[in-house]
Amino acid sequence: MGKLVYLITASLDGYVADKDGNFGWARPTEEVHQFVNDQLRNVGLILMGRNLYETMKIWDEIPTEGTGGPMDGPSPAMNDYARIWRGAKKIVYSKTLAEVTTADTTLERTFDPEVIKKLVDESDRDVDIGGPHLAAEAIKAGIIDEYHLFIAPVMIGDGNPWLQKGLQAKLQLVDTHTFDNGTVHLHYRKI
Amino acid sequence: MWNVVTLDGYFEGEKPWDLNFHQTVWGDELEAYSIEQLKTADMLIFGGKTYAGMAEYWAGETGEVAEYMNSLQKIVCSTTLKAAEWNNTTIVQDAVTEIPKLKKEGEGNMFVFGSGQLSDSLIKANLFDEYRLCVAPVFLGKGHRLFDQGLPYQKLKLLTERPLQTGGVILMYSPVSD
Repeated sequence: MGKLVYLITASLDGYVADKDGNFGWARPTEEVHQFVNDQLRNVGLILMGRNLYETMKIWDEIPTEGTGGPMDGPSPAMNDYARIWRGAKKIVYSKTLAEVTTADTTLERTFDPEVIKKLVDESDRDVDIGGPHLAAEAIKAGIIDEYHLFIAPVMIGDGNPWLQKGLQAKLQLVDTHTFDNGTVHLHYRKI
Repeated sequence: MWNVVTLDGYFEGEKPWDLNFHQTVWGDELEAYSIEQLKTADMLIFGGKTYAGMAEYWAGETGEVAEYMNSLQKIVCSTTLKAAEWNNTTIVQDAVTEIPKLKKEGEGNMFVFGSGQLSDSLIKANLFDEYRLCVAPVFLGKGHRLFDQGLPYQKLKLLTERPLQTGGVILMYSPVSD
């Protein structure tokens, strides 16, 4: 049985991006990125909303070994994530997107939590869900098993919150971790 | 600043003093931490609403926390309050002007508990030297946010991260210039 995992970086005041959509402050250091990869090592399926997909699809072109590709570097942790990305199937949820261009990717118009729950239960590998709006639908349905929150040491004042309004839950703290750059990792599990 | 806050950023529920989620993190560890913290304090600073509730709650209480709460010097920041009955209280009208002066006077720590509106003014005026939070493992869904929308961008330095047996996590930060 796999786990449905919501992993995200937020500011101390709870935003994933500012109101202009910028999240440069959330860019992980090599240490943080490697740790994030280790949490996602067993992911076989990535669920994304449209915005997150637009941000993430560049990973299809980032090399899994060595340098080159569309971004500077890339660092060993980026190579490593590129391997995780390539090794996973993807589902993009959007009512408006015309097509998806990355490998192993399907486009869905609506998110059905029961279908995902079944998929997770029947899978040996984990399922990563991303984008706060899509995650909110899964939280509402009570199907997220694990939360990995990375708090960046910054307050940004306004933007897109990692937890949308109206969600209620009580979680169990599993463990915590602190990084050299002041990022804190809080790992929670559904009760 | 010292506050218990939910994962979705609320320091109280929709109704004033709805602090039920505190029960998820409260226990021996957090009580010991509160006492250690109060030992370093020489002043407590409140907004008018938090002051009124705190005064009502603590004035009749006994025990180590209550002794500190009742005996420590207190400042209530309010433009409307005429009299403050709780032991050892001074009324201050203009917090942003007066608190820097008070900071220079004493050696001990000054704590702001709760006091959402006052905290907003103090954050905007960059008057906090430390943000100390206990993050409760709860999504509340609605209520009053600790960090209001529209606060300025602020880089922080992590000072402490400490998980508690209850599932709370104490985080301490100081603001740093960019």
